[in-house]
Amino acid sequence: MSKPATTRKPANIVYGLEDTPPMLVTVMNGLQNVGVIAINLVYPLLVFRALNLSIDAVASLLSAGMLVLGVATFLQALRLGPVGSGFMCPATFSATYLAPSLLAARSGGLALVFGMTIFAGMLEAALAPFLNRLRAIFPPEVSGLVIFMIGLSGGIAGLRSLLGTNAAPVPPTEWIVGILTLGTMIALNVWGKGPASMFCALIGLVAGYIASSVTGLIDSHVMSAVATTPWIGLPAIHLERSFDLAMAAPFAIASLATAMKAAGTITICQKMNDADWVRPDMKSITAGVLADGASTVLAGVAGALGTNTSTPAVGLAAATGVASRKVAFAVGIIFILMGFLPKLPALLGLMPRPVVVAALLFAVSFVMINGLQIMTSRLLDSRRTVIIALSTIAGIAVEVFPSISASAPPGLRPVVGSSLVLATVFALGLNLLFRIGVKKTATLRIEDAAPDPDKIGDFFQTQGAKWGARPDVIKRAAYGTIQLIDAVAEGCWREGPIVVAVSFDEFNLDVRVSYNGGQLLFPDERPSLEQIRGSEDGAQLLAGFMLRRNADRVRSESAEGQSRVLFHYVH
Amino acid sequence: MATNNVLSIGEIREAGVCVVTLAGRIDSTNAGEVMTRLKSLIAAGEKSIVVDLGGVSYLTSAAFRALLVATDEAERTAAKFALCGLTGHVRELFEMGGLLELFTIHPSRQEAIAQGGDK
Repeated sequence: MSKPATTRKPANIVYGLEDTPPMLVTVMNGLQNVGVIAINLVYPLLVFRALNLSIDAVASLLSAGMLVLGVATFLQALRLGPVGSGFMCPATFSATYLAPSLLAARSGGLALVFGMTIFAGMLEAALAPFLNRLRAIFPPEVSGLVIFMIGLSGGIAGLRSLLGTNAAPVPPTEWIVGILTLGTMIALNVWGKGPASMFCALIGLVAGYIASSVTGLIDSHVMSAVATTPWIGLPAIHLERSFDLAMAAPFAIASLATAMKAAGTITICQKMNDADWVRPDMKSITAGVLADGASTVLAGVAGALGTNTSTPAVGLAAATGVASRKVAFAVGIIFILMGFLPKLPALLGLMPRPVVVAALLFAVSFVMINGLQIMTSRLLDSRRTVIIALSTIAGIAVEVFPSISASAPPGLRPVVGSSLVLATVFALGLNLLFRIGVKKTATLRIEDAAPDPDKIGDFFQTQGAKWGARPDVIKRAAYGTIQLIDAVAEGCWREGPIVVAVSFDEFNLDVRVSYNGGQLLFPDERPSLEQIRGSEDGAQLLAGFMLRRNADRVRSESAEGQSRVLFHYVH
Repeated sequence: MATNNVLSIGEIREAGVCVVTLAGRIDSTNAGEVMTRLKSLIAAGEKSIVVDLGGVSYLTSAAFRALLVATDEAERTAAKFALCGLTGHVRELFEMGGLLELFTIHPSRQEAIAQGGDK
């Protein structure tokens, strides 16, 4: 069903989507959002560090990354044709791309990282129109598991790249700085209030830098390199790109995961901005995921890691009540300006190892918990328990026993070599296997086209409750069926019973109505006022038009006097 | 959906406005009744009519046709004709049919009466 043309602002939102807050509010909120997003700069930093690049090179790449975040935030907030949800939904670097990018960095350097990032962005954009249909393949237990494994594999990959494969002994000073940094972040997050809690990661980073400089972890010649970095400069664009089929699986999974996360974040934006929100509006979700994919393509082109919508930033908008698109423009401008200030990325580029580890652990904790929450958002029956448990074990086994990958046939290594990919493949396979026998069906016979709408409504409500179907979807299906039978009984029915068969399989609710009589038309355009007023046929056409909009898909067929209408509802 | 679905039509007069209150379900079996009632009010020379849909549980296309025919009749006789009480599911149905712009709609009965059924 289409979204209302105008939306009502919820009471907790001070500045709605199209409102213009005062300049000071806009700028301050823009800065707050940048502060919340900044922690995720640790992901590209880790990848560039893994390649032992110079601080200058890292700073230049981070500058390009900031430009990408700025443009990506604009792309999401603007509505350029089919691209962009139009929401205040800033972009950030994502943990999702960390493990695949580290893998690509080790295998083919920056050229492969950026080439595969372009591939992932293009795939995400291509998937955008089909997200609804992918929901059956990626139910919450599978998508939650993928996100959990992204956090786990990203954390392990980051630690491995920092500490080496054998986790070489860490000097006591680094332990102290690391614990102090992580401790500050956690303490402010758990016990802090207001800005202290909101900017816990940023404050922790500053504490880590201060502790590193006091304990001598940042050496003076590196600091002087930062001091000599100019205040204003242009980021250099790394031009080489390459593609490796062996890397396609991890990047494709990351791409799917970012698409699902973007869809989730945009749904939060819809709810936040509309007091009368009923169900996700797929049009803005598709446009948002398209923008997210386009931003990742741009990241690959400009020399940055894949991006994704920032859920914490959207959470900040909900907390402050400032959801105006103008704030997104402020965030975009601040990031773009930061892209031309090389001193800042240079300072980030010299981030000492224990500070990076602390920031990484803090960031991936939330990713992992987010995954756990999604996994457990539905009742964990035996089917879901087996999917989650076996897939997690498969993923962890790859990390614990690297020999599994080494001894696998070369063709299977892209799958078996990555904990994220193997866990996802296990979860997808088991989910498909367990879908056998999930579909449930119920039938209602209405004799002699004498429908009792209460009976039809009760039938849907009873079946919906029995199957655990969402009440809003059941309500739409019940209304559609009542309206259809009302129109059919009035103008199409000839004789015999009208049979309503409803089937449900967690992701799809299908209603099939069969009767002996002529076909009802389902026009795409509303009949004219004259047509509706002119005769009963006008009411029939209006019924058909409304039914087309009520269901997610409508199919009508007729053979030998028997007509059938199929309504499909996405659940 | 099972309770209070029988159509009831009420009529009161407030500040010179004839307020018709509809409640229950309106479909092809009873839309004719609504149309006849509204047409007879217009034919009787009523110059300001407000239809309050606050008690309606749902309506089908037959009901929309009845309301549109009444709107047409009112226009012919230069009478003011407006709707109020469109909330929740009923408002959603108007949106679904792309019908909101075809009627004069007020957020509440009080506002509709204050406007005398006019926009």
